[in-house]
Amino acid sequence: MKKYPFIFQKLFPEKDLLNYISQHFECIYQASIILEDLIISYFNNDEISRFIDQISFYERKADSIKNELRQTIRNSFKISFTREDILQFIHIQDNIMDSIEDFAKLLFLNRISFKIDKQIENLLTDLSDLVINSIKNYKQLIDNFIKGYNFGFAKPIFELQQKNIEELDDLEHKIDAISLDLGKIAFSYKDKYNPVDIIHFNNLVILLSKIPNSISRLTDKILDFMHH
Amino acid sequence: MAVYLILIPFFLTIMICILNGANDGTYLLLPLFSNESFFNKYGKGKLFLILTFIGEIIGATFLGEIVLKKIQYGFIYLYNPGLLQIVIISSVILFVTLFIYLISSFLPFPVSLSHTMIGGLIGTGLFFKYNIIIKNLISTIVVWTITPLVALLIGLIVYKIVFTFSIKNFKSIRKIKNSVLLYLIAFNLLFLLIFFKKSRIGFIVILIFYSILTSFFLLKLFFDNNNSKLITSVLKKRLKEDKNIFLDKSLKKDAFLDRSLKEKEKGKDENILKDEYDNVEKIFTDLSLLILPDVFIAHGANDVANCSALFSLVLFSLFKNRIPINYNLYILFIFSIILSSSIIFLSTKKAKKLSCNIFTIESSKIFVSYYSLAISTILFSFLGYRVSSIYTLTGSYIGIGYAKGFSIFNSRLLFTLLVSWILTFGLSVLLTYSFYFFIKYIGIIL
Repeated sequence: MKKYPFIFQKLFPEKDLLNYISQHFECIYQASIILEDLIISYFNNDEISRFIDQISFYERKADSIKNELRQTIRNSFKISFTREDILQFIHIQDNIMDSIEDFAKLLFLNRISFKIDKQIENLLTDLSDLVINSIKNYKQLIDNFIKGYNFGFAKPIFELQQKNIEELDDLEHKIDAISLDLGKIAFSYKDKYNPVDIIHFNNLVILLSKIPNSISRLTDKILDFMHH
Repeated sequence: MAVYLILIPFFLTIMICILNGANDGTYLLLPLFSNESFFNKYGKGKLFLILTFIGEIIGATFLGEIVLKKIQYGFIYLYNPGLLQIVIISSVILFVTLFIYLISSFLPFPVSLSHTMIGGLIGTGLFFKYNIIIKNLISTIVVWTITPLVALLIGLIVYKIVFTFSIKNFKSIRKIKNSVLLYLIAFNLLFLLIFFKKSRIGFIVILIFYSILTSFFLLKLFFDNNNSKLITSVLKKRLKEDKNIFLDKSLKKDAFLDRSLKEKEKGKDENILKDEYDNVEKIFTDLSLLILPDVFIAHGANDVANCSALFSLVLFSLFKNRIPINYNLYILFIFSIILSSSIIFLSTKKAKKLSCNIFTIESSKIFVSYYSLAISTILFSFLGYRVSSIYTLTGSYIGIGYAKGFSIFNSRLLFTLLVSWILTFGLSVLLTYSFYFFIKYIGIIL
């Protein structure tokens, strides 16, 4: 005979809406930490397949959280934000995870045959550092957003969030500048090296620089939620 | 022979008390168990169990009589029934109630004791062609329908007040403490007024109880130095300093490059925010404990009377003119001990088990939900109406949800509750009627 859930379980889903978002981002954050090690190993010419497996694990976990959230929203629950906004938000956040996974896989698929000089290596390391930092900053933004929700976004929290957003904007600007420099350098080698390698290298840079763009869209959404 | 037969309704009443305590207690205590802050602070101790126990007994003993009398004589005229007849009637209704309670986990809707018991009385009235007091039945049905709505409204208003004056726009922890004190005074005054109107002994007991509890709370609240810092002002000051750094162009470059310093500073802000939130929650955690006995006073006033009403009628018929003064009081006292013991020994275990996989509710919201549950239940109990604690608490949660207290909640449950009481009531009428038909068929009732 079927046992029905307790009334409390019917009233609330197992997890809070913001909890899903936070848990989903936690997977991205963990993947970004692995990404840091992956890039170091890549430049040291070490084996990187284990990092790919770890990132894929977090990607699958993030996907299941996203699906759980979708299912919860569908189950006739009333939510404080519009369904479309939440779905769009989680979709953009999921894009970050996809970019990290794609970057890692692309790095694994083809080892660039030309010798990466110190200038490119430094720029690429700077780029990845900045991307990882923007993920870390965004994590703080999300944490404050969840705490702020319970505080009704009191003025000091609002100001703190705006300060974080300003920093994220600054990081995005820096990332754009570095990725442009890297792109220019890569295409300047077009007569010298294998074009596949150059396009591959450029794709890697594009994938990394997509992450702060997604974060920037998410910060706009967070601001909208806070004003809501 | 009939004297020994009273053991049947007696044991059935005990069983219902135990099941009601286990069922309602789990639902009422579950939010507290889901809250890590409360569980770590009070969950492992005995204080909250003692307060629950005392609350249930006070509520049942001093306020339960109003509800008890309504059930004893409020729905059907029994025309001087004999002991055997009243034993059969009460046993059948109690048995049906017990049966519905036992299968409640397999029913797709929540089950309420009030609805089942009154359904049983109406089924009895229909079978024996007694005069059903339609006026009382209609007013009770209206109360059943509006109670969750009243709780929803109180929950929504109280949460908006608490949120605006104590959470969102607060200036300091001390001001929150002052504001919560006002909520508490307003609440205690209402309860004292109700007890004063109903029972003078009850009023004195509750006055002493509140005095001890509130003094303990005030001492803890105002002399605990750990959370008396003006944290918000520290945060504001830090933000102002940061703004000055960014405005100063000569410093801007350095400030930006020194990432480690910046992250350290940001870490401080994060901690301040966390501390601030934790300190506000701590106040509401203590407040939730303080209001807990009131929740059980309200529950005791209603549910102990529900459980014991039919058995009290049996004893009334047995002793006739030899009924002692305050007879109802003794009945309520005895069964309140059984029911509160069930809450302590059975529901706490179930609540602990369930709390691992459920939504966490913050202390401020627990406080508001208890506040609106206690007010709605005590007001309706004072007027002599039987209400369901589960329905009322659910209504108050939905009210908090509509005040944007929860980022996600099931608003349709309110409609489900409306359908549930109709189904429970209908099922109870049908089962009671069928049961009488069956026992008449086998020759017990002629």
